[in-house]
Amino acid sequence: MMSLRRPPTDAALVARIAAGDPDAFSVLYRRHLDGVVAFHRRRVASPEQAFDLAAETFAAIVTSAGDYRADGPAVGWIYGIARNKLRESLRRSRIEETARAKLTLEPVVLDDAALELVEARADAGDEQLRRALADLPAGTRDAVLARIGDEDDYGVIAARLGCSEQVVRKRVQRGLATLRAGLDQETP
Amino acid sequence: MTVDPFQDLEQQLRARVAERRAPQRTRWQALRAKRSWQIFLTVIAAGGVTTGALAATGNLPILRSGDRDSDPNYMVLTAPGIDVAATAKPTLLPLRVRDPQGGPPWAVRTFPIGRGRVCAQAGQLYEGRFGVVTQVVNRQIEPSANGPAPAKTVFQELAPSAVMLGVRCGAARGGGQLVAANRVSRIINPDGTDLRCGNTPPQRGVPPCPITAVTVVRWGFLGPRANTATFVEPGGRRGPTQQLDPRTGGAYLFAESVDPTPFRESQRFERTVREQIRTRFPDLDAHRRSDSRQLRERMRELRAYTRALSEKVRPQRRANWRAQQAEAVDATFTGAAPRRVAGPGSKGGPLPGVAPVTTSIPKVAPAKISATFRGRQRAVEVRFASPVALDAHPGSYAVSVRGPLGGACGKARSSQADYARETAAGEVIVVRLRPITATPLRRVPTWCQGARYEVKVRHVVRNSNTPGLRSEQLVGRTEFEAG
Repeated sequence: MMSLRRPPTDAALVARIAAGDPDAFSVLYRRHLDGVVAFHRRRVASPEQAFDLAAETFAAIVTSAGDYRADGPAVGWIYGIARNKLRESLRRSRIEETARAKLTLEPVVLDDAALELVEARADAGDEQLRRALADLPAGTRDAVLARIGDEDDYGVIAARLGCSEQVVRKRVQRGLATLRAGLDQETP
Repeated sequence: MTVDPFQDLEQQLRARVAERRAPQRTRWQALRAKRSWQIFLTVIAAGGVTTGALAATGNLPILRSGDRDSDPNYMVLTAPGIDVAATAKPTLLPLRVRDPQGGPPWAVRTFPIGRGRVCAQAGQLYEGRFGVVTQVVNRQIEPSANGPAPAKTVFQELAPSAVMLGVRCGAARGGGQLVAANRVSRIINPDGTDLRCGNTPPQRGVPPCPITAVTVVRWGFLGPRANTATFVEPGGRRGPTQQLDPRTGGAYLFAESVDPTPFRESQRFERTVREQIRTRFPDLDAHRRSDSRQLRERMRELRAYTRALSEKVRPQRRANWRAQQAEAVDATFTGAAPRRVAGPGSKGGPLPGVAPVTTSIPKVAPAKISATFRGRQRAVEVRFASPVALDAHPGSYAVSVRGPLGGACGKARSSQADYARETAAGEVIVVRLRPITATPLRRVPTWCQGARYEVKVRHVVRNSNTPGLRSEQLVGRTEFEAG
């Protein structure tokens, strides 16, 4: 008997992670890994740090899945965590290990081949985002880039784009939902 | 055996998620569960599916030849693609090879992505669907819709350009085919022999999955003058030969079972390395339970030790890696000498009958570049009219900014953005650049006030499929002052 089903949404996966479903975590992880690695790799100088930040981001997703409220696209929540982890690390001048320590994760040692993999993942994530962003309407793309890429506040983006904060929020939300659809994938 | 750090991370986090599922467990039991610490060294990553991914198929029933059309043990899932730029439906090439493990046959399909480029993808064919027999996680994510999770093998249908098993893209030649491309995937335990063994990384008290079989899937395009392709086994014995069709761009495809011994030996070696670390740091569990400060200290020592060990074992890992990559493909051509086209001993260079694209590097005329600094946005907008069309030609623009770093106005560094979208000649391109990131953990929030920055736009051609096709031409330069 064949069964064809739609892949679960990010929000559904986060809820299942909170309920202790490791397979849901795997799906969410593989879906967003490249994007999260690319997000960090663009902002730090070395692949080791990008890996550490990505690890910390996913560990935080696990520790805070129970706090997620589905009042917006979960991809925004995920990148929000990534952004916060980056900010914390920049502020303290060292990579945060709070979430990994909470989960008592073992260190993953990176050799040259592994670092190449980090770079490859970052490139793939960049490419995915670039292609997905290319399909968004210009206003939405600007809003998403400003919010997720450049970490600007809604007020700042609104002033720049010449529209209300509410319009920006809506554009970012729509854009993220479209991006999610475009990036929905399994990785090897 | 191939493991990547992301897989290690995934497995560790999966275990932590699972621990959260059991509220009935006592704190002590939960703590004991955490004792199952493992140290995982990254080994060299191969292009292809890894042990962890395929070992997870466990002892699921595998479809046997002859009954695949009605086998109830298959569940089909669909993986959407990532490449929104696929511009037409895929074309399935007439190549078919049997799966050595008795699964659905293998095939190759191609699809265009615009700018004169075409992508190719290998996969299996099941009931007219294109995909791949994949891992258990995709089965388990759908456990309850039709009752409890059945012991089904999952056939993952792939959308064009879904990255599973890899996609190869390049400039289309002649009849719109991709040529001069080779790709390999090594699938460990394609028969999913034993679900009871530990996955990668191994779990405490559970033996690692023994490597029972390895399937190599090698495919590529050898151009219109290629006649035959022969699979050469790792020991040098010649395997099956395929007659190639010029209408497919000389596409070849092999799915062959190879000797798993080098993979097993690599697995054994990695296990020894892990044991070495475990012996050296027997006290981590105790610290984890009692003293976080001491744990942090020991973790630091552990990191230093594993880094040093990693250096020490690198030569052996390289040797293991080479032993696992030993199969090759030899080809014959009309009007040219036979040659090895993939695997150890293969040489690059243009294939017979495949015209190199080296002559088509366009002459790029200089263009006026403007750079507008938007202080409020802390960004600079670089504008220029594209002197050439970005179309079928494999060119792109690289926009770089060079100048001192941040508020402290440190050493001058460069930051670069690439632009590769389809663009008509004369069309205005706008690239927005943010301030340069300075150090790993100290991002520079602003440009260096009052400093001058140089902006350069270059037209860049890089094409890994065509050796020698590489050029960089300066389109223009300008400067701006950070206000």
